[in-house]
Amino acid sequence: MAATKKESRISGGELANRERGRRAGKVVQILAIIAFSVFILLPLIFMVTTSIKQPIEIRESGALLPTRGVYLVNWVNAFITEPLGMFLRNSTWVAVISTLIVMLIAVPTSYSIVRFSTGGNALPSLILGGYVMPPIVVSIPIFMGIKSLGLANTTTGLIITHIILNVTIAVFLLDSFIRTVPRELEEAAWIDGYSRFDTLFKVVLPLIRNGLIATGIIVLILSWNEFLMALLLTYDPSAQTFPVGISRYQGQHGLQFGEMSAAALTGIIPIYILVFFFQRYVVAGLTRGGVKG
Amino acid sequence: MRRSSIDKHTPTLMIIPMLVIIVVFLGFLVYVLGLSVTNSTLAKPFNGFIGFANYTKAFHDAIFGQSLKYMLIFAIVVTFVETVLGFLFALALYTAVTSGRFIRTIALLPLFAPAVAIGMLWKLVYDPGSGFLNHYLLQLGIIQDPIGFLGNSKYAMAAVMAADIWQWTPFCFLLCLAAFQSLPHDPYEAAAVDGASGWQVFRRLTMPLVFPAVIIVFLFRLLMALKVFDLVFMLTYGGPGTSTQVASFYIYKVAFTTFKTGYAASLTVLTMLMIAAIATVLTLGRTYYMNRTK
Amino acid sequence: MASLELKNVWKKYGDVVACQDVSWRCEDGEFFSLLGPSGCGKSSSMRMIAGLEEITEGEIFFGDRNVTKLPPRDRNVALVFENWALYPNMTVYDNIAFPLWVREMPKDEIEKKVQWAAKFLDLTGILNYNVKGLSGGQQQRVSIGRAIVRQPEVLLMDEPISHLDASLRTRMREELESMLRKLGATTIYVTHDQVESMAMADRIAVMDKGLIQQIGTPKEIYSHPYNEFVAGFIGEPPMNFAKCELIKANGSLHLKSESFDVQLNQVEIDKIAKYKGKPQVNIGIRPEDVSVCSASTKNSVGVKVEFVEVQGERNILTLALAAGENFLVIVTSDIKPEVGSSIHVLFDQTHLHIFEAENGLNLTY
Repeated sequence: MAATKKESRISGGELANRERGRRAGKVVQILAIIAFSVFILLPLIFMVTTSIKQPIEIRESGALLPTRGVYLVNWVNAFITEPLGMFLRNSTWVAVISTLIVMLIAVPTSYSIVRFSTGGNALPSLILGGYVMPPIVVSIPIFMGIKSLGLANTTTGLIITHIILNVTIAVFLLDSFIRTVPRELEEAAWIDGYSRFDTLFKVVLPLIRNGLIATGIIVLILSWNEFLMALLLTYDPSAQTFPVGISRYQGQHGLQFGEMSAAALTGIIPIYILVFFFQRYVVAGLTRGGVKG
Repeated sequence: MRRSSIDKHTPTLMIIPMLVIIVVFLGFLVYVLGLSVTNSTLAKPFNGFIGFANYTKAFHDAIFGQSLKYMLIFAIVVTFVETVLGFLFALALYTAVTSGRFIRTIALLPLFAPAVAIGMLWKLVYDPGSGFLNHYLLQLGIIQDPIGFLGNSKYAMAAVMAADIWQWTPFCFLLCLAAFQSLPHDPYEAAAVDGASGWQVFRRLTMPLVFPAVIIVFLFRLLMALKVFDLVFMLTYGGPGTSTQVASFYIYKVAFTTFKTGYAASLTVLTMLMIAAIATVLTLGRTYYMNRTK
Repeated sequence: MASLELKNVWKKYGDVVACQDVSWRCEDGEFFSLLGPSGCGKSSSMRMIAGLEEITEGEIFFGDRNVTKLPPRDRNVALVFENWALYPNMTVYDNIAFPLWVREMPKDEIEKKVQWAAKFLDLTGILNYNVKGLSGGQQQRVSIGRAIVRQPEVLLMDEPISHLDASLRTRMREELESMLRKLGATTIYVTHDQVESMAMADRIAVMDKGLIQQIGTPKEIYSHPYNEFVAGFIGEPPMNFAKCELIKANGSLHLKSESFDVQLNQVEIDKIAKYKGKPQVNIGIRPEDVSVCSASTKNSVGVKVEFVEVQGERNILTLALAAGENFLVIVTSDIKPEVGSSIHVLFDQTHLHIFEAENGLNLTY
């Protein structure tokens, strides 16, 4: 009965809409949905259609839909012109590994800050500071540092870099999730004889499973999309990641939009599949971290 | 018991890896500071102490000043537009429960594509020959000749802003949506019984409740927008000329194309100070505002 | 102020029926209570009266006005919500003033009315406080203030004190009662607590599973419950029940079970004279209508003492009947049998209720 009651319950917005006339409100909503969808999807659809247009057609016109039939060769060429496969492989490797390590570091850190206020006020501020800093600021030191370690142009160097860049964000995001776990649960665990570590792994983490997934996905995507450091630290495809790879298409061969679109899509589509399936978690993570300030 | 001996140190143990990172971070800052007061290049760091010479140079560097200006203008304009648009969309859509999943998924799309891909996408969109913007403007008769948006110093900045707005409005939308959806239910029923019209409810009840969250969205996004780099790199490479050269891009050029890392470091420090100042002012302003309304 | 009438009102949520053919009328100025357990339909009824829920079938009248299709704002009702539903960002003053502000009343008039309501509810001291920091009792009074400030035709109260601490609840109940009497408004009071209803209402409508079980004054409902549900729901401690059969023996009617054999007196026989149904019945008798007697008394029932609860000026005995039923009996404090001992009790037949076993209807109604 509770479930059906909720459906019949009138929300604040609906009550307000009722005043104006239910139909008017619905119309506005439908228009808004259409406007919103068009706004977002139009450029993306254009990218997709460009990737299947023949090069001649691309040069000629910027119409939305291809008129000379579907041309899939762009997609093939994308892999030939540049070693796209390698870029994708590197990106995957760097993203996955760096995310795992980031989580390994961020989880205990965040937990420690929330539960035991380690570092008092200074630590959270430092972490926030790390988050606010533009990457360009640390680009020079990181560049010099990685180079001096002999890790320039290696995926390992990138992994280390991404860990440094992303761990603050992970701590920040996890913070608000950990705070949702009631203290009493952990205290009960301590009384029962669990050590602090056990409490973390067996009690807290399972409860914030959603938060962990959300944070992990966001960090993964941040790493996958990271551009500046990847650009600076790599100079040949053996270590270059997907974003850097994309930028190469414009340099070397003039603007082959068809191939570039196809190439861009190969890196974007996996992300989108990920997002589609984990949409619920991702939104939770974003809105928690964002609105709570 | 095993527990008590480890437990005391567990909190500290847990953050050791993080501390390492923080030390590294601080090391970086020190490094940058150090660079800024020396005559360094990419090949020869710490080549000789020169005091504040780099900073003096920076103060006289008109292009640097311009890049700071562009950074601010860019950040403020895009954040404002994104927040307002995001808010309006959220306002219109927060009661639409049925299309929730669909809307949320597509809202995430611009957000999660790499900025370079988005840069490339908009480069395509703006292209005079191959882009649909010019194509349809021509078709609708709004313009006579195709416009090279990115090659035209009048339009370039706006074009980059538009691309950023496209990418981040959905983000602001999602956050504002969350704020709307966390509104309490009951007071709205009370308002209905009290006889309030939709507009009255919005003005007196909804707005005061969501406004604090919207402010946070604005501040959050502003701090992010100050960092813009990838988009500029892909779309305009700072150009044409320097018309889209924001601070982070200028620093990049100085450090990695002219290799003057010492000078770049000083620019970095100055930029960071400015951002820190802005962040502090905004946070203080927000705290003041929140306390004032108690 | 006006009378309020529900005519054949149904409320369905899909296949679930929350209110079945509910009809009742409450007069102008009456304090009318809707009483029942959770899920009985009382809240749904109230929300339909307020206009917050659509009426699946039936009609609602305020006086002569058919308000069935009107939105809440056109009905001139006021609702005190269970969770108070105060406007969280506003002060006490603004909360109370809101309905007046909505009607674009001039500022000085609003001031007068708000001050009146505040004085009435003892809120003048905290008018400028934001409602978020207030205690439960204060929030509740603000909620009432908001409701009464515009002198509505009908005042609805949805379990207004159920979320207060027990001690506060008792005090608030008394305050509420005197307050509402002074106001003289037509009041519909929804609650699941029969003590509240019985103490405050002029008339009560008892509901269960979406159906009206009985409508009457507290006294009527207490002494003449229409069916087993009402009988068992009202009264603290609750009524005692036992299964038995109506048997004709030796030219008279007996109530017979394993535990007892009671010969009915003439008054009782007359009451159930028309009954032609099955002999299986349940008897109901309140704890205060059972007395301790000697074994030789006619119609006495043998019982074993399970528990004695001393309550100062009275004791409550928990007695076990032969067939295992537990009866509660209220006695004076000097009667204090040993636990485990066997005693005898007598049912006061003037207050003995006989319910048909199949449908729970009170044959002695």
